Amino acid sequence: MHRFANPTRFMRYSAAVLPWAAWATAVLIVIGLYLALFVAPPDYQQGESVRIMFVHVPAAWMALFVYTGMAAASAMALIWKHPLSDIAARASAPIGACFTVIALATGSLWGKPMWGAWWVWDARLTSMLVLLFLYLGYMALADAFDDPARGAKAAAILALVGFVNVPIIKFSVDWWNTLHQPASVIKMGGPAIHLSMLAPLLIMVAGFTAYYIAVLIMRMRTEIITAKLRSLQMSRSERQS
Amino acid sequence: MTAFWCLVRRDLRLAFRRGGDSVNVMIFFLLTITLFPFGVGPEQAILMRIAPGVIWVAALLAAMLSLDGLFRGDFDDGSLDLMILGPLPLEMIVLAKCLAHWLATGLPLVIVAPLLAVLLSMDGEGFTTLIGAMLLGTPILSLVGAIGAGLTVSLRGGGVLISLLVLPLYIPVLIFGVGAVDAAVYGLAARPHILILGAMLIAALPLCAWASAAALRLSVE
Amino acid sequence: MGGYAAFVWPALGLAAVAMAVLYLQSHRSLRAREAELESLQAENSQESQQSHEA
Repeated sequence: MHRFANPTRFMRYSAAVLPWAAWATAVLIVIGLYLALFVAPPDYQQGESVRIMFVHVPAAWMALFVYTGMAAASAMALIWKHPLSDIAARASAPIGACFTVIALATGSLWGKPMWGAWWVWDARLTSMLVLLFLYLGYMALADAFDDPARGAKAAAILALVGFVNVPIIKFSVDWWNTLHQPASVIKMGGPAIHLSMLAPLLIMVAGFTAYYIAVLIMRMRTEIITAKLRSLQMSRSERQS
Repeated sequence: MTAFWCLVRRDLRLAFRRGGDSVNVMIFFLLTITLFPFGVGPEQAILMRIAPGVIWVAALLAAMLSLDGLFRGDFDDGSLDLMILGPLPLEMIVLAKCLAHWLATGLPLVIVAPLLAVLLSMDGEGFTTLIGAMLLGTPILSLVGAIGAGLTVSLRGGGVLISLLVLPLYIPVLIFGVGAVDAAVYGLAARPHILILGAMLIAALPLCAWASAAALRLSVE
Repeated sequence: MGGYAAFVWPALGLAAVAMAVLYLQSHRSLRAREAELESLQAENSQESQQSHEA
């Protein structure tokens, strides 16, 4: 673990990994989309609109996965003071927020032909919405501090608090939904899922994960270079004065 | 233990002297609830249906508005630094301040809530449950809010940011608080909701104290 | 698309655009910082060369 704590080492490894991640993203998503759009059969109940599921479900999973990653990185930053952890957490936030927005928008577009409304307060969508607020709060807090290191630490505490709350919120929203739900609602994703649908779904998830890795590396490298720039500029102005 | 109660008394005395905070929170509560009939119309059936939700949301917002002052006064004049150096662990300091905050701003909301429920034509069946649920819920609001307050105390424009951080965390309290009152009004069992609120309060005590103390340590350094 | 085209394509398009924008923005910002770092390091080595010669 501590082998990777060195920013210089990280810069070297990440430079090597980045092109692979970028290519994997492109290849996996293209294959996944092809299978999703042209090979997978239309759903018995939902027809062709189920194609949206192949973007909606991976995006929703990634939204949760990235938040979990942020919480884990935050824990490492706070407990073990791992130097790259809070950079990783901050860099992940916009990516996770992007996935959450995609999940909400595609969920809405999937829901309109299904339920006849652009937005329904079903448990899944509502929980996604609250997750978006958690992401936005995290980003707002981290940016509010002048010192980015302190901002990252404060946001780390918030990320952990949020993470503990995610199951509580999910449970509460599920409960609230069953209290107010009249009849049955078509469950997104249907009952058991057939292999012809599972394969493109998993490939899309893999593609999205590769995407996350690629963008995460880019953003972390940017952050590390920015920190280096800051210290260089400060020592320059000290020497000149 | 006496240091704890000293701090509670001190904070209460300060709140009492300022007076503004508790009274403002109650007025805000009243005003917000009054806005709803203007918004949705005075028809009793509608007001009755939304009364528990409106009361709880208004209580949430009122509690949230008072959060900024939880640590800011002590942070600004340096008392917080002194307190951290003192004999009382920071987690206990947080709990003491939360208790004082709740007594000064949360408890008044609980007392006033039934009167406002009358304004919204809420069914009398729900009154005791409303009070009970709010007695459990409002301390949770102070405790969770302390985390937000601790994180933003060193920031200049902290106030609005607190709302953004804390409101998503308030949602479970809202859901079960309203659930309890709705259940009582419709003659169903409110007990499960009340029990869950109680469990959340018990869990919040150590967790929020720990998180808020960590946030304060960060803000103060 | 069985009549659902008006929903499927915008959904996919939106996701594609959002992910592309994030990717490109991250990429561009990385390139910009790298360029800044290079120029700053070049200036620094120029200065230290000059002070060595002086």
